[in-house]
Amino acid sequence: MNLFLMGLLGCGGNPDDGAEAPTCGEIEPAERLLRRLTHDEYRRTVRDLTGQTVDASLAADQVVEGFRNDAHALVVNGLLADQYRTAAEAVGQSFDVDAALPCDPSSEGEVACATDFVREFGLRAFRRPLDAGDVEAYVQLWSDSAQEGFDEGIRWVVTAMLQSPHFLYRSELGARDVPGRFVLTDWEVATALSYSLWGTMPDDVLFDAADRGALSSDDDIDAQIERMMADPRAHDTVGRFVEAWLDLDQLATVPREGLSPAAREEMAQATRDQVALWVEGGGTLSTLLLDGELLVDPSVLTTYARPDGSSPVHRGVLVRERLLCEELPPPPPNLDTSPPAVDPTQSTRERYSQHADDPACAGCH
Amino acid sequence: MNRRQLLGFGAATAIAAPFVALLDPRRARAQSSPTAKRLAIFFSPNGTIPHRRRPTGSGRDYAFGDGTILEPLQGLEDQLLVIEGMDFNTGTNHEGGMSNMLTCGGPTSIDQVIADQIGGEARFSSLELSAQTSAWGGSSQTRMCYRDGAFITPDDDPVHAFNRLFGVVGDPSLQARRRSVLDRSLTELNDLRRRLGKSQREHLDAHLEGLRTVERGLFGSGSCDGGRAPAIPDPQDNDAFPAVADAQVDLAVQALACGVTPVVSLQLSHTVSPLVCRWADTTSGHHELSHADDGNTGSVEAFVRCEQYFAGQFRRLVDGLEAAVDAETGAPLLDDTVVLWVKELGDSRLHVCESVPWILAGRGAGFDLGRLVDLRGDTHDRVLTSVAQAFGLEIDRFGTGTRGSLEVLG
Repeated sequence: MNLFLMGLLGCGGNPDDGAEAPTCGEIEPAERLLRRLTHDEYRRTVRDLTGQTVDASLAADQVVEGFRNDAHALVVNGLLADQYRTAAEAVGQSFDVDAALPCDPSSEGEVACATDFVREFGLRAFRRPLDAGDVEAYVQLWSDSAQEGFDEGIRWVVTAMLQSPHFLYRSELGARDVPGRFVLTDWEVATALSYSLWGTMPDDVLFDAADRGALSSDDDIDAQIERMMADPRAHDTVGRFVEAWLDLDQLATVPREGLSPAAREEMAQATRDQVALWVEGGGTLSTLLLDGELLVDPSVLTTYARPDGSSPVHRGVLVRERLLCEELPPPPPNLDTSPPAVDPTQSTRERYSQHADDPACAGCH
Repeated sequence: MNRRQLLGFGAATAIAAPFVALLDPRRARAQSSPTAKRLAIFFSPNGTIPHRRRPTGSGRDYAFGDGTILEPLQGLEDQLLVIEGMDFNTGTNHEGGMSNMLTCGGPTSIDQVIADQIGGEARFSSLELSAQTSAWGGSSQTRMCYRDGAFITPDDDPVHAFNRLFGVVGDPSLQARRRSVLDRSLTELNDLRRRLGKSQREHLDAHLEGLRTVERGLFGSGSCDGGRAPAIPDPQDNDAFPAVADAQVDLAVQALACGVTPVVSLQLSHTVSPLVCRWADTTSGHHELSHADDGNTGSVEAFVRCEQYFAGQFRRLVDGLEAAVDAETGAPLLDDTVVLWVKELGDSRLHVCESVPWILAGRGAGFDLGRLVDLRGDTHDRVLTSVAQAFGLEIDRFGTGTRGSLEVLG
């Protein structure tokens, strides 16, 4: 799994270099990025930050090769901004102020206590310490809303922070190193680790390590990765990767008589569980495909099938596009692309033989 | 990945078509005196099976046959312009059809172009409402509205849409809180933006634009009583589709009537749709059925029933716009609205964007309604150019099309 981090830190290595694993000789800097949280990451983060669940639907993101976490494709448009607003207002209004306050406003004074809250909650929400300007601005926001009570002011601080770009985007901008180069701060490393491996905000151990400056060396990072990979959340992450990679969310809607939504979800969960077990046992993606027989997993077979039978064409496309990363052109227009009718006297291979035998078809097929 | 690379399907197909001059001398060209004030675009997916849809007759003497796909439109013949023989100027197959349907090969779809012209004062310059378009995420299969090459995401949730349109107005202290939260986000975004290089700024610019949209929606003027909010617990449930579609069509009419927006697009599902029209007594997916060959009468008729359902929804939109009145003039909205039922494919079995069946309604453009018109291969960019001109846009072409507007529309 260190290969994960190497990718993050921008290691070189040509993916076309045959079977050789990428190595980290010369480090090529990656792009400075702001990565908007995916919808899944957003929901998990809100849950871990506030204890509340956001059920409302969020504007569907662009899918790139089956994945919904392409940083370049993750934007906040008008619809999503409004959905964030609605969700933030709901979470704010239901926020348990008493449980979250690090101080007592009646003994320490309201302004002092609000300031403490802004600093502490703000650090967790923005995944880094707030600077003086941030603190001042949010205390001011609290003050404006606190005309209706101390708690109301706190609720609107929460509402505001959940709509802040510092919450919605995770920063990979870094701090200036030598001219033209930036280095990720420890806070950014903590965030990159937690989202990559667990799909959510850093836990207290990571926040503490960042605070102590203990996320800079390879050993520091290795130790965190070891710890995090042993956690079931990491296995879920790999399961989600496989689902996206093989477009298995289509299992929910693929036409098939008699396959209830509950049955489909059971199948999908079984696939996730199998992948999780594989990762826990130290397996790799290539052994998952071969020994783990991922391609004959029921979820895969059902997703890549026709309603009345299996589909060599869909599965062929899966292998060529998702495993071999080839781009297949669509069939020529005006072509009858209906598959051969189901014939109980013929095997699927025999029914589809025209693809290979007919010279007009064999060109593509 | 460059957002501007999202389009680019299909080569421009140059089709020479005989010039069809059927200008109705009673009507002046729409370009010189725009009468259209509102636009409603309605989409249903997966092309059609032509011989089960085609009206009988021709010209002004045409009719929707019993048992055909357009039977639900019987009685509206004199209010519609039914277009046959129209090809897309560019694009083919599902994705090419979907992405070029409203863009004609250009970076921005016609609804956005028209919204830029007429949407200035309204709380929402345009509104994109939809039903079950997003289970597969945003892609060239599931989106039809574009701005500068990037998708515009429609709102699949009528409850959320209702709240955006009619639910937020009111409590001044709540609005004041929202104002300061919004200001804080805008300040932070602008500060961040200063620290970034050019390519990352694009992202934040999109976010800033998004917040401006929220700002206008929250604080702009123009609303009215929206009536009761729809109650649909799971808008993504296949069997809730009719409830969602009804709610979105009704919301579209209300939004136009209230002046909340002058441009609405209604996207019902998307190309390659897996939707199952159980309420129309079918059990197979819509895309599946659209590929039924003529010999498979069971599947063909199931497709017809599902298509009749969509025709009924179009009817609901047109009837709604006829019944609703403009608050100022008291006249039916349909008097100055242009309505367009679009599809992304012609014969669904052939995957082609030829003879794509569109229908125009609404008296706003001064088109010569009440006819079945055969464009004989003329292209859809010309139809959209004519529509745009009806709103006062001084354009003589649209997308990558070059042939200007269509006199045959009237």
